[in-house]
Amino acid sequence: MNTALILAGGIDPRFQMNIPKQFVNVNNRPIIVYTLEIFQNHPDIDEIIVTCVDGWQEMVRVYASQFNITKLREIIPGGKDAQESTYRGLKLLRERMGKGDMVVIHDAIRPMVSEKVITRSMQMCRKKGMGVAATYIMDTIMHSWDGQEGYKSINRYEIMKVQTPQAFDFEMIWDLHNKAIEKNCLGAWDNSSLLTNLGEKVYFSKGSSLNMKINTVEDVEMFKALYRMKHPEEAVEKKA
Amino acid sequence: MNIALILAGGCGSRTQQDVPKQFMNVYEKPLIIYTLENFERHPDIDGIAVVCLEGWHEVLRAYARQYKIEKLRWIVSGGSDGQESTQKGIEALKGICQKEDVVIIHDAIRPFITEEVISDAILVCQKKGSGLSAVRCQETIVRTEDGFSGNENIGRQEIMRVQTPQAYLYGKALQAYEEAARRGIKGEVYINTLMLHLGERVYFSKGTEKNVKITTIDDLEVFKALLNMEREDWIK
Repeated sequence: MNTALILAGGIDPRFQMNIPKQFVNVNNRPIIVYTLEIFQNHPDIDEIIVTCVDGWQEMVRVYASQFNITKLREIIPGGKDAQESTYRGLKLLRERMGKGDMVVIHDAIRPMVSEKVITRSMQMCRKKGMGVAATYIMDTIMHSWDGQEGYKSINRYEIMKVQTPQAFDFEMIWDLHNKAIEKNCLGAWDNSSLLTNLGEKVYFSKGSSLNMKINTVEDVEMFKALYRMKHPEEAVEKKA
Repeated sequence: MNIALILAGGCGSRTQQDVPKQFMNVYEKPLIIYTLENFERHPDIDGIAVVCLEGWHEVLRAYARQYKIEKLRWIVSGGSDGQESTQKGIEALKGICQKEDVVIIHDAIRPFITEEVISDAILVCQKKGSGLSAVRCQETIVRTEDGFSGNENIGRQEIMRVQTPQAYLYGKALQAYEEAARRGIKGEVYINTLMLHLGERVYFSKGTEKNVKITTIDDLEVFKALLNMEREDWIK
């Protein structure tokens, strides 16, 4: 069985609106719904669960119903960071998932992920036990402590910028999370960091530069523009 | 005097298209023209030089005339790699720039930059000798040897993503390439890494997240979206 675990538990204090990023509306739909739709339409995803900012579960439920996200099984409150939110999701899935099952973890605020990127992470996962979507950075990378002066540069083919989805064998990621708790290795801001914090190897799958994280109001606008480019037939949202 | 040196000598092997990226049309206008317009508009840029892919000089000239890029005064051919191409561009400005003038080096395939980014690069350069537009990394970074796996995290707060424009004092830039030739240094594709190689210090100036380097078809989509965003702001 393959389950998508959508992380929607974050509150970004830097985001300029009072509404959490994942719930901002674009063309009459909260951003999270766009994300859910892609997993809903993916042929290899069997079900979806969401870890959500407490208090917003009902809204997610209602919109999911409205937009026929029939694979959505559960919405539970998230934790204080991505590690905790993931753990709560995994704990819930423990009842019916085990070795050989796959959990595909993805940020709700990455609504521009494509079916292909998800498929690639799942394919890598079948081969290596995990598939973490990643891309190269096309800028030059330089070491800098103060952001003012640059030192040694790093060959940009020697680093990867990590995204989501991150697909894992369920048993493996469950064990690693428990190991992390045992070792008091907490606060990872994504699951690949959880692995590297524990000294474990991460296997990459091909991500995409379009698979952007929505961090600012401008990113919301960018998403709107990209979506409309892809769906010119949809009526444009008129601002009052 | 501040002269923009636009690097358009690349042949785009990564996008696997026949047309070099810098000459691909987006809404009927070649990418390079979007780039040049930023420098044409900027009040502190006095002239523009382009290091151009062989066989495309006439195309560039024609489009520059069409889109009124009047500051474009010099077009030179590129070399076999980034180091050679940049060197040719710098050398072409020998009779034109004094050593305290500022040369602003920029990738032709970075069409989306702001006036502020160009201004700050020049400002920091005048103060410290160089101004390289740069931003922090917002994503998790992992070290890799093969692009396939990795097990070491790199702290986001330890690194900067360096973009272009990069402003240098002309004298220093010229000296760097002369020194590289003297020492037989090859394969330093970027001037900023060449500077470090020669023991020079480099300083950062304001960058922007939206400063996309067009290397894949996906990047072109991102650029189009940025243009559409701008268009809408204007309509409002």
